[in-house]
Amino acid sequence: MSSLRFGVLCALGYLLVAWIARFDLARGTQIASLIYPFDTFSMYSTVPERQASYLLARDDRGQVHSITSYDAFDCSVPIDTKESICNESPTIQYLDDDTANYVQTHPGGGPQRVEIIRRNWLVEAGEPPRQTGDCVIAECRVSP
Amino acid sequence: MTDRSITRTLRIGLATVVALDLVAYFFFVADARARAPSTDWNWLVGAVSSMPGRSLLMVVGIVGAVSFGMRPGRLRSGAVALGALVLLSTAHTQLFGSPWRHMFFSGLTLLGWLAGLALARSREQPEDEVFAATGSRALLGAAYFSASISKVLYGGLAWIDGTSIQASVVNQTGMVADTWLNGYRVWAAHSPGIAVAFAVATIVVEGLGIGMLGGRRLRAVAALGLVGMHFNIFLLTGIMYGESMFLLVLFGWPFRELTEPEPRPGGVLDTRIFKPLVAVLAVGWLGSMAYQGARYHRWYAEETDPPGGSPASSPRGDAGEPDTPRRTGIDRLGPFVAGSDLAGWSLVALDTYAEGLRLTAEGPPGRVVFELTCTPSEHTSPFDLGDAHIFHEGPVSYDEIESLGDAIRQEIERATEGRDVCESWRAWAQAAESS
Repeated sequence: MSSLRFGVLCALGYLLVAWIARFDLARGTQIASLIYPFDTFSMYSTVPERQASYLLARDDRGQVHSITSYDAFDCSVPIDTKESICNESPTIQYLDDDTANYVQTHPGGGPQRVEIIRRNWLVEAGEPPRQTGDCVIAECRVSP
Repeated sequence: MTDRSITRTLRIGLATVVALDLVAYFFFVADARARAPSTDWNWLVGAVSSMPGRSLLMVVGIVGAVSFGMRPGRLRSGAVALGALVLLSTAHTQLFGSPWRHMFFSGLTLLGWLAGLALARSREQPEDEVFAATGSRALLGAAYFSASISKVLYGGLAWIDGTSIQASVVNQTGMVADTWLNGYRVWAAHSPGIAVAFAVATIVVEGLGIGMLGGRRLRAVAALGLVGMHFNIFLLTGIMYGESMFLLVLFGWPFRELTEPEPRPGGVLDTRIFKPLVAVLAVGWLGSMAYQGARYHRWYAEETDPPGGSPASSPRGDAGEPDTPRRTGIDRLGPFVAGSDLAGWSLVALDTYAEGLRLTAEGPPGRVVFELTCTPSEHTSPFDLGDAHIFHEGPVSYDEIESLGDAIRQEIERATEGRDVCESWRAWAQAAESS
């Protein structure tokens, strides 16, 4: 019984400190508690977005590939997802940053031509995600 | 196994994860510092994230973790390791702009252990680690319980309609079914029933995480459910919570029960103190949670329905919600090509719907949808071509989309020269839907 009581106090104490204050940071509102290791673990808890998007490479035949499936890029413009006109779709910014960083750190180009696109989907309850279009960010020469 | 050998196993496992996280933070902090959008950080973040700072913290923290793991009751060594984690995590969070939650589990499990050691010390049994093991399990369980409650509080019923799972898979993987794993992801995202099942299971399994406080069977079931959930999340999104999976296996393992410490009068576990303390903590937690929930929903309402309403649009004929699209992701509609530029805007989507065509354009002011319809309407738009209406909708002003609207009208005029506009639109829609 002593052990259980101690556990209950620990759990409640943790929950209290984790929830008592939540701060905004650069990547979101109410995403940090007072101090490590306290947190409410509320990531992915919010009302789901109806739109989703992802950065992909689209080849001449219209087929899409992961950007990391290419090793070298020579693009018409730098991949800056924050400044792009395609930046309005809901996205996970750190994944976009990783992708932009991947392209930037793999210079060189190659024989194939692809477009770096933001592919958009509409996600509605009870239905499969519906593709709603692509927004072209840059044209690149790439090597696989 | 004796009490000592069980707690020794737990302690060494915990110390190992803490040491590994300290090494990981050394690299993560360096990466976050190199990629931080600004160098305008405070002196503490600057000092901790510098090469000498993070090296020193990693070494000191690892020494503390090793010392903590070697013998029972080493409260100070554990506190040193936890302190190093606190500083490195704080710097990383500030530089990156968000906490990395998978790195929190080693810290909170260690914190629970140290709380137990502190209690044992106050009872003059500094090497008794029964409370320490309980503290670690309690905090592990509380973390998952909080995750479950968060989904109910923030997302509500909408969280279990499956879209949270579907959107996560899409946002994390891009739905390129080029491997068997991506095939599984695409299948799950395209199966609304499966997505609902995963969403409900996530809330239930996380909520049952508090079972880590229970007996060995309940603990094992709770840990097994959480490990299974993490594994499925890894398959679906590539997000790996390796540290927490290891800690769940370790602290959820059905070792025999440790010898229960004797009750003592006068401490925090004494009924006369325990009950009021529980009441105060519970009220404080529930109040805090209600406050944070209200804050979030107020913010969400402002985000989705800003004061002043939506900006100017030319109204659609029936002034209702647009009809469900009949065909989306169309490459070409008459003269319009998806991905092409028009008057400085990019055409990002072309769709057909029951009453006509829909063009979605993105430009510096934002996103706007033009609906081309010949359905009779009492409303008109400045871009209309006789009875063929060109309505627009979106969070942009008329001035911002005037040139785009004119360009769309001119493209239509060129493409339909000598022909009926409405007939042409129907032909474009038919061609797109049959292709």
